[in-house]
Amino acid sequence: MAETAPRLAVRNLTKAFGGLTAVSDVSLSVAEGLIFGLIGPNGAGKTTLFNVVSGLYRATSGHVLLGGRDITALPQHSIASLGVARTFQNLQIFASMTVLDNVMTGAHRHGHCGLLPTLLRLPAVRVEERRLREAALEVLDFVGLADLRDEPAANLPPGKQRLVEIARALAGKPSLLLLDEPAAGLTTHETEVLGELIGRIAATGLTTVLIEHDMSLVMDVCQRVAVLDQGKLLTVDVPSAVQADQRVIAAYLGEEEPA
Amino acid sequence: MPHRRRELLGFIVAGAVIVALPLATRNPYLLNVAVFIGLHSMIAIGLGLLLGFAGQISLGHAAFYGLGAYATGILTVHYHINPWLALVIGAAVTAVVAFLVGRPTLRLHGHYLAMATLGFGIIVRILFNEGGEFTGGPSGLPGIPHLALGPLVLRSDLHMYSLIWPLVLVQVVLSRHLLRSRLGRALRAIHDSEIAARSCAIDTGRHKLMIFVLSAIYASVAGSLFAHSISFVNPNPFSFMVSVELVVMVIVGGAATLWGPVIGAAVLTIVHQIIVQLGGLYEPIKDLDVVIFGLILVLMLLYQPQGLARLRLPRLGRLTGEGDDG
Repeated sequence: MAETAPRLAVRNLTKAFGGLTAVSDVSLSVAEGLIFGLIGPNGAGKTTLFNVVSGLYRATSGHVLLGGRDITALPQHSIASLGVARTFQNLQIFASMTVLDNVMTGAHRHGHCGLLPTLLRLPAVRVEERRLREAALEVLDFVGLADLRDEPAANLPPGKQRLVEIARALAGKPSLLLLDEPAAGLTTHETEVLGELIGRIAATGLTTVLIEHDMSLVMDVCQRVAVLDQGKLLTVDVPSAVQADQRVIAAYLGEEEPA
Repeated sequence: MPHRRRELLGFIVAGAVIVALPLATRNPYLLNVAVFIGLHSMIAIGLGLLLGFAGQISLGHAAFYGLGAYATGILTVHYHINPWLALVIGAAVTAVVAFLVGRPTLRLHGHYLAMATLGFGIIVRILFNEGGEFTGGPSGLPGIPHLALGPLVLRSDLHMYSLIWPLVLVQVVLSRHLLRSRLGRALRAIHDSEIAARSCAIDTGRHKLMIFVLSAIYASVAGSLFAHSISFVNPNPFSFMVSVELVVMVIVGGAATLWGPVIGAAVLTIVHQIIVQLGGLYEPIKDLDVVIFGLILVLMLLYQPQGLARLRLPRLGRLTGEGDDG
């Protein structure tokens, strides 16, 4: 029997912007159902890696495989429609919409009605609308935003807007979730709530890659951690081993660090 | 839900005004202006969807208006096709043309559509002018038959008014359906953050193209109704300036609102008529219309960038009862 393909595999991935190589020959795989941490100092290429995986950037060379399928050349929306959901380091909520509409938009890939049926609001559209709404409400419940569903998303504090983004990502029932620094700008309490939420996401079996600077969060929730430094993969291991790795400490503190 | 009630109120007020106007006056000039407000509204509603939700500007909608007008004109005058069928064929042809214009440009970022439609509008107008016998050239194409509903020939402005304004209402209802749907949310998402929209599996280029084609179809239908209404077309009403005026209507009224385009169409059509009337008294005023429209646009962007439909009146709430989410 062949082994099942990892949910996400990155093979010799390089992304260069002109002369600057942001991601350099990185290979890693994320097994089904894992919470996988991606850490590294600022400018290590973590977000660039996310952007290539999610199709926002085109890889310079190398491949991205989703469940064994090569998605390297696909446009961003096609990758998303295959079940890759993400959040953004700089919040990208839909500011003119309510919380519920934001989350329903996340479920876009589960609707099919075209323009004409929509304009005429045929029964199929009503049924689809109800289905998407129920799915979104379920997710809002899950992340704890149910009472804020009719609020304009722009009115929420940044901590809640993070949750809206996560809810929007979950609403698409993804097979791979990419969280880009979800704890950035959160208070200690909000970070605890987030950690607990990520734990519950893990319990659903959803494969998740987490970029995060909050080390205690990473060490708490991740089963595997990859360390990037200056675009190169330094190591992939269990959190405790990564924490003890001298190269990782050096990367964070700078090369000249006296041993 | 107060939002729903406000929205319902908007429809009731609009319906009442539409019914009341011909009861209040049979002045042919006023009815004629009302017909033109209706035609401009039909185009502006589509442009509003494009501008307010897909975030794209078209500077060529007068050309789609013209394509509809000329398509029905040519089909009925030269080929004696039933006017209703001609209207549908015109809309289909316009849809295909809009698809071909929009497809290469809407996949790109930025305002390439504005540039493409600008060039397109100028080319189309040249074709109208240089079409010889086929289009009637600069002097135009006369003898376009009126539309008929069974034995009733729609020849008067009151007839056209009674046809066009219910259509405008229908368009507003369709817009409402669209905006409260998965596709409508997708459009608003594109407007708010394209990157996030694509991360929600929304094919942004495809959605923009879809709305662009829809808005062109609306303009084409308005053009056909125009041609059958006055039985004649020439290239003048389809100039670049008209395209710009249509965009100004949308911005003045409020692009991202249900009724904004209708309000903007009414305001600017009336202003235009006032300028024309004053120009009859004192010739040089006629040339001021560009300046006045420009001034209105600048003032709106400075003081009421969301459009007249979002105007807050003390104790009355918003003028037309649009909700925050349009």
